[in-house]
Amino acid sequence: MVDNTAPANPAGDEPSVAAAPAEDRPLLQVENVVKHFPIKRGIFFKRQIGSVQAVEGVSLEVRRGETLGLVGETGCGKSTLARCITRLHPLTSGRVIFDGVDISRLSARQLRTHRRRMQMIFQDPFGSLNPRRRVGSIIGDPLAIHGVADGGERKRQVQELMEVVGLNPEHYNRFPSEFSGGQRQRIGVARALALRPSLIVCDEPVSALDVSVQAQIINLLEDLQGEFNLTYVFIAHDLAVVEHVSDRVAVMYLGKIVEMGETAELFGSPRHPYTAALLSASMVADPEKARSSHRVVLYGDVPSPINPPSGCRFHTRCPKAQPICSVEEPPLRVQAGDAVGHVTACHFPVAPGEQLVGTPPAISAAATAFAAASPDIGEEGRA
Amino acid sequence: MAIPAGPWLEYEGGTLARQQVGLWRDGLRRLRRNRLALAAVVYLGLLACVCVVSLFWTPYNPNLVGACPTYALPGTPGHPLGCDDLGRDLISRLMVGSQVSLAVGLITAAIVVVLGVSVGLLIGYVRGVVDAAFALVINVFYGVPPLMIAIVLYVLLGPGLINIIIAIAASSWMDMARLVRGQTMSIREREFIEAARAGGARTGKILFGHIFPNALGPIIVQTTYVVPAAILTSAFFSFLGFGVPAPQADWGGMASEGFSPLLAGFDPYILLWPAIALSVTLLAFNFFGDGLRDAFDPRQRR
Repeated sequence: MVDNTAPANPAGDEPSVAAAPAEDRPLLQVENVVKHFPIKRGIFFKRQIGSVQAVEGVSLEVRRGETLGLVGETGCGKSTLARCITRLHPLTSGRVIFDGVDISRLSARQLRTHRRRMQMIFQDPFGSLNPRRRVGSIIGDPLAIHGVADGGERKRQVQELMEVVGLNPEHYNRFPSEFSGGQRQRIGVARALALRPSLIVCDEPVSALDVSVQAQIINLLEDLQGEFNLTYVFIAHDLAVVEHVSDRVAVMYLGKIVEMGETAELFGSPRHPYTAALLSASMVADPEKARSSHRVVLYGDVPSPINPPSGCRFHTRCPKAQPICSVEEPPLRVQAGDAVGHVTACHFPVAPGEQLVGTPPAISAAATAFAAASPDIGEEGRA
Repeated sequence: MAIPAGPWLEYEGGTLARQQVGLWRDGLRRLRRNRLALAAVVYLGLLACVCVVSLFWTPYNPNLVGACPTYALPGTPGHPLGCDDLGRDLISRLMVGSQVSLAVGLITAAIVVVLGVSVGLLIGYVRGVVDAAFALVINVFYGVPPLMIAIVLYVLLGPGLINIIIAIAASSWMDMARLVRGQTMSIREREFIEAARAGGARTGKILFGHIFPNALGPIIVQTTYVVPAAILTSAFFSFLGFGVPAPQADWGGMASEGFSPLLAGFDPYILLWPAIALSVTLLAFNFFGDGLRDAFDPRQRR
């Protein structure tokens, strides 16, 4: 595997990355990834009039065999980050190092060999399967493209995969429309598995599914992880799901990671006010507990990623915000009293046991006025 | 939170989705329900048979002058549709004329499909400068009337079927290109295209293996509108005298030949037969196209 690094790192600008022993090295390193979508006007003479800052300097590591959960509100850049990791989007800047190889600048041809080891499961089980292709070719296409297997051998392998993910191999010649949502997602899983990847990026793989079917797919993914020695980046907005599947969790807000740590620790003692608010908004099945639990209500809406707030991006909605928050951006660092792997980007992290008071942000007069004008806002909150 | 699993969850074995909606089977099923379209299909089938038969056999030699009395009226023994001013058998000429119409219609449609689909897929997928450049090219082509191309080709190359086909194809591929471009732009944003890219598929595979099959319905429908338009335009060219060279029978040319006898008050049937054949054929293609649109194009489905 170390051999792979040689051609892909021609400049040799990061020898330390390649030099680390293959087994200890993180499978995936994301360094300062930035993804801006330009907003352009004009046809022939395009000029950029702005950009959507979908992902703004995200760094993280994923170790072999673990599951990294990625949570955040809709529009916070989770899916964009996933597509940057798998290079479905070109990066604006930053690096994605997959098993020691910087794949962020590879050409399409060079990328193809690495794509084999890095697959993706998509959110929409209806949109992610070509309605005009049969299941056999949907799952078998990657095998054909990468020249892994042909003819009868390909069919055998595809049917084996179908069996592994719990589909009837006799349905080889059916169209996606003949399957239910859960079965379709199994097809998506089989397709991602076909090339025996090391890393699978799951982009909200269960959020489009019925709750009972969600459990099946999650259990399937967990079984496969052990069986095929897989590493997952698991994106979701359902906190219960993320808590269940992840070893570590990263919380994103408006294109940045605000907090990252071991699942139990992060869920047990969230340090970032946003994480705390997010966790307090998740449903508790026990009504007694639900009544007694404290709910942090955030005011206002997620700001536009075209023109994000200065300093800490959360300061416009943060109940703990101070003047410094709008000026200086807090770095992602280990806060006092936290374990080594638990990092939080906050000037005033939530103390363990502290109850956040859901008041309008202290420093945003506009937000206060807005909240006063419409008192019902924030009642429902957002999660 | 642990998510409970158990055998009670495994209700998923059955097929919840509607039975198989393969493009062809579904489309043909819908087409069969449409009586008008079905009648059109029957007529077009007959026309195709007549066309094939006329390649090998006609009652008389269609170009034989004096095969029967000039201006023989319909019903003359041996000449059910009568004869023209040169004494040529009209039914024979009408049969042979279908060859030109069908050839022009189908070959033009084939060229339009190949050109329009390729260009549409390319500019819809690549977008950007290529798209803008082709938009300009397409607008230029819209500005050139087919008759002008036909006349120029007639002057340069002399009369011939190929010229007509080129002229018509050159002025009707843009609609197809635009249609396919729009389809491509919408389909390329769907998740299965990303899935294909994640699987390592090359651009060609994505264009022809994934996008094209999903745009096939509208393409088929558009094609069925190209055919009658091409037939009508070619008949129009022939009527004006820019069509196939003289002895060869075609419906537009026959109508032209029947025009002066009609004005002179001799025999309206010389003009009438090709006009009827043309009208019915165009109607049939249009009904067939409408039927296909209802069958294949989900957006306009009633």
